[in-house]
Amino acid sequence: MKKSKWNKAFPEVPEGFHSRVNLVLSNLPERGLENMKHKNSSENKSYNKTHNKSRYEKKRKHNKIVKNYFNPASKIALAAAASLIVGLLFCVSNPVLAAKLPFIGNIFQKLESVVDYKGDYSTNAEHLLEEDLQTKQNEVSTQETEIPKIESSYIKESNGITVSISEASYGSKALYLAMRVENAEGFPDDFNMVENREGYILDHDRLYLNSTAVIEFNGNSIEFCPEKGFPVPYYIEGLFENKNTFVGIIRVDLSWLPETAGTERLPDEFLYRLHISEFRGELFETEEEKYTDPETGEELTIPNHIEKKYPGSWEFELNVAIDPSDTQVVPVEDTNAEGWGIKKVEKTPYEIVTQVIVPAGREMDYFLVICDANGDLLDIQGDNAEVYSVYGRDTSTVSIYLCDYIRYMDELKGYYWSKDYEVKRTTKTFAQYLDENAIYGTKVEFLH
Amino acid sequence: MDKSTFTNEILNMERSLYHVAKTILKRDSDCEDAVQEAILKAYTKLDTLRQEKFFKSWVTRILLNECYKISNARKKTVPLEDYHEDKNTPSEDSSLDVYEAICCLKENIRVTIVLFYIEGYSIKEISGILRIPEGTVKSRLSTGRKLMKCILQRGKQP
Repeated sequence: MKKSKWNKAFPEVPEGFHSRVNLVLSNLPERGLENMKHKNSSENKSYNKTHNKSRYEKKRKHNKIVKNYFNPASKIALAAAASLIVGLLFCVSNPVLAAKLPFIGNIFQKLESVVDYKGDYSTNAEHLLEEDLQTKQNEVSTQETEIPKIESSYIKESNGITVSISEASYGSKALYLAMRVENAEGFPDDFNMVENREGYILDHDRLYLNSTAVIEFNGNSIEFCPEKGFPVPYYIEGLFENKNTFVGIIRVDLSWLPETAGTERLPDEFLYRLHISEFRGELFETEEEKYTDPETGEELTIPNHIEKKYPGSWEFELNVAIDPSDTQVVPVEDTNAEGWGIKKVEKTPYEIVTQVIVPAGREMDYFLVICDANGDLLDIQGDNAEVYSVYGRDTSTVSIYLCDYIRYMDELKGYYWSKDYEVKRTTKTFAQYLDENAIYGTKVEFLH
Repeated sequence: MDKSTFTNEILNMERSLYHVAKTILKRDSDCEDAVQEAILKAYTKLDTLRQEKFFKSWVTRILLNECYKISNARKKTVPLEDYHEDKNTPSEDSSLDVYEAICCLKENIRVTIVLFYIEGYSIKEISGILRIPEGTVKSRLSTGRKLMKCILQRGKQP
């Protein structure tokens, strides 16, 4: 399956498409003009008219929503934010009470063993919000103002939703952020799947988000957003405290950063700026999608859950400092006769990341598997299938395998996930099974 | 990036833009609408693109969003010509080529296959463009490959 061969299989660009592209390009205004509103510009009106804009476009214009920043929901949000600040002031002036409240300081403790990406984050956490508010409180006290006005760079409000980052734990492969999302109007019950969705088997919920991020270090600035091909946080895992409040942990994957920055390793200190532009979740209600199974010709109806979205703007700046001694790097530099192998393995307090060596053109033909010292499969840390968790397992020695992707998915992983694995492992662990079936395997020892 | 460079970059990726749009939208006129909106949006928001090397994937993502908007609107009203043009199920007596086989795939698999095999994006880039984990990209590619093989083999049968 060569890309060039497939590329030729697609039809040529039709003349109409080519003409439209040229027409649009020839009507572009010069750069630097302020307030370029293409839909209203005279140039674009001409070709819109010429080409008779389609029905969906006209309908979209009629449905345009005008924001009212002084609507009742906004007032409620302001009131909620105000009460939040007053509450925080009271808490930070009373450290004993502050330690007992969920808002300050214990989101990690509450959720670190509940979310998919588990870790002992509370042990190494920086208490960002608590320390920031303590500083602000001291400033307010010395100024003796009657009405204390307090702001924290770790609390942001937009469109009735207040977001705070209270704790952070930084590692060389990921940042873990404890986040609280408070919605003045309340989230739909549908979002709280742990309590409200029948048959839901996980013990945590997810709140999805759209985000972009900027990382700055040594005078460099790198912007990350999905459009540029680099994953940014797109969900928070956690729990609903009540109808208005979701608390969770975000995992910011950094395993791609050195490659992107063109460096061998991540800098120990950098600024991480996270901008969230939307929160959303699934409603129980679905809309149907018709699909014809190409193999059987059978007409299928696929229910897609409708999403409820909360747009806004929440931006946070984090001064990240990573302790490089937390990461153990084991160079392997080994390949088999076919060219499959491992370059190096890195272990942090939370995860194991492996740099694989893949024969040219085989980039999607393998699946990376890591087993613990007892020969059992490690869990995946988050949504990156090549990052494995060390939480609660003996990873002083690990077995690392590259398996044929299709064979692993269709056959090999079934050995571990079978109901009688506990019986089977007494004679052959999953690692021993993969010793016989993987296309490449090696063992790596860590100091701790 | 100035206007001239922007224009050249768009012209260079014209074929790619058509392929991506055609993956979601059946009618060429819809592809034209989508690419028009995408070009204008990209040009208006060009200041937000800090590294020009990501221009292609950035525009592709914008185009996909425009395609999905049109596609969603189309789902509510199916024009008569679409009804007659629907080739989602291959005819039994046809010998299928790769393009027709791709057209038979489900939309999310079709888009992934086109971005990887036709447009040459990496798995990481597709993960970013479609906002799905890399494992899901691999899974869709694997599924798509299997389906393609099956469809093409069936198409070649006398």
